[in-house]
Amino acid sequence: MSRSFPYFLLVPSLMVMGLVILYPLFNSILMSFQSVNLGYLAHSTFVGFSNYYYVLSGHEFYSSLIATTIFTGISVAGSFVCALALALLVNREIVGARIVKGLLIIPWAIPWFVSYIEWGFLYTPIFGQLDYLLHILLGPLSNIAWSNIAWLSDPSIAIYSVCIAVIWTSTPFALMFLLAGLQTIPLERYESAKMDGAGMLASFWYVTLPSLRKIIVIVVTFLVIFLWESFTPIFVMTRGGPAGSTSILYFEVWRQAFLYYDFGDAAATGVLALLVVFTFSVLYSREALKEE
Amino acid sequence: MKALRKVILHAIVYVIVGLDLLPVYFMLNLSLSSNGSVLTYPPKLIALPAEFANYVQIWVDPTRPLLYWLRNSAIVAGGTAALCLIVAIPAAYTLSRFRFRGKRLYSYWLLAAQLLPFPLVLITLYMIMLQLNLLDTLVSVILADTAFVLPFSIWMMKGFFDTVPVELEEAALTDGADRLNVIVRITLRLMIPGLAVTALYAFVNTWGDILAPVTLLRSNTNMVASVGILMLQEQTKIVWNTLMASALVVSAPIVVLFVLLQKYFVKGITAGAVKG
Repeated sequence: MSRSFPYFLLVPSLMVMGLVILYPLFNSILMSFQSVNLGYLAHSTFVGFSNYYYVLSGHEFYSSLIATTIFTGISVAGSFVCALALALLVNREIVGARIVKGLLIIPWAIPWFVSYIEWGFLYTPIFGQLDYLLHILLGPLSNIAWSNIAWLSDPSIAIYSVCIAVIWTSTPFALMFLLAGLQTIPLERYESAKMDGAGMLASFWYVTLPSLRKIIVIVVTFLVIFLWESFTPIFVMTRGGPAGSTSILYFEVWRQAFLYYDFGDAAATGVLALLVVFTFSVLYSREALKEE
Repeated sequence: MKALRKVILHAIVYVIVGLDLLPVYFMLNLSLSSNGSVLTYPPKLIALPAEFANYVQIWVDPTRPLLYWLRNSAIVAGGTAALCLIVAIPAAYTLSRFRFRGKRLYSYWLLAAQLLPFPLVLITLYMIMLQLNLLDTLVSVILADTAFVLPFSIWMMKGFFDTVPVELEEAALTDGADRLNVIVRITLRLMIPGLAVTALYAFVNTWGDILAPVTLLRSNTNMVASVGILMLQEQTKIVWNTLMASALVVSAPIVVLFVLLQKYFVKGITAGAVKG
């Protein structure tokens, strides 16, 4: 086997990834410095940083950053907490545990676009079941008109509504991993903790969590990566509205490119988004390396 | 006392599962609603009498070429899965078995490719397709979705290769296996669950994807099922019940595949990750 055999095996992947990821990426970065007119592609003019000035002086970029932070933060945290709680609940000896676990996976198994279409319907004011159920349950207790909440059309709450739907869809993903992790914890640890006088809360804190550390890191990392680049929930439920309040960063890039056909500005936004991601991953890997 | 605690635990779990599945119940409910009872106040919580005709009607509606959509989705998802498999197997094998200069760079690249703003890549992909006259074709969607799915597929398959002991291959080598082919045959046979999971991962993700198709496809007959269903939501007068019925029909194969593969999916990721 020649020395260069490994490289030889890598060629197909490098070719494909170079062709459909790397080359388009660099070309798009170039486009961020151009004024691109789709009708006269050959006549794209070089405009330096003017696209960037335009993007950074508008408010969409910043509200997009805020939306992304809120959305990713709440969705990841919510999914993780729900998944952990469910994992702890379901990990015991329960009649029909297998069926329960299978049922809990369903929200993630259903193709996302279907789930979000349904959530869009549930969130419909007046006609959606969510409003109605809340109206029945909570109506008598407060003054809020529960059957008429503009879940997805009120700019100040739309993003939270989206988060709830995303948490519903993403929890099973985290749940699978956490359950698998929980099942690897040897029972002796719990027993020796009990002998040391630990109650339920203490054994959770001192036995469960530390044993799960590796899985937790993996799960949270995956959640952040997948939810950060969410497109489907935003597109299906709000299209980035209302008033751009749910237009998270990557969605904003898509919106400018393919709804407004403003390729130059979209590319600039995309490059800025890339810088944001790059900064975070550098910081993250520094933190991760520090621990080792 | 202990019995009471058990009962409470079971009750809590069942209630939570019930609540969690409420949206799914409502999906079925909606798909079986008759035309008049979809937008009513108060909303109908149980669709009775159930309109099973919805499931028949969706196949004959000319504005909704479900069969074309399903065929296109199958082509795109299958094509992406096939392409990913072909490309990822040698790459993942190399990552798993060899040490070479640039390995770290390649691995970091695989991770970085996950974080890239895909819409940014899509901008140029769209332009390329426009210039190559490949817009509104399934091939363009296959290429775009491969860009999205391939890095993770390689990474996942590397994890699966890691679970096959190198000793087996070394034994075959010392036994005088004349070509790398024989070793590959041994390893790959053990890798069949891993290959299946990776292929299904690519398939399922592409089936449900809307980003690439919504950007690159136009005509109704070239449309993929996912975006086709979404387009039904674009109309000025949305017909919710048949929309949901179509959506569920499109989802059914995926849900089944999913429930079957999820066990291996977790095993694959945790095995690769925990080990190295």
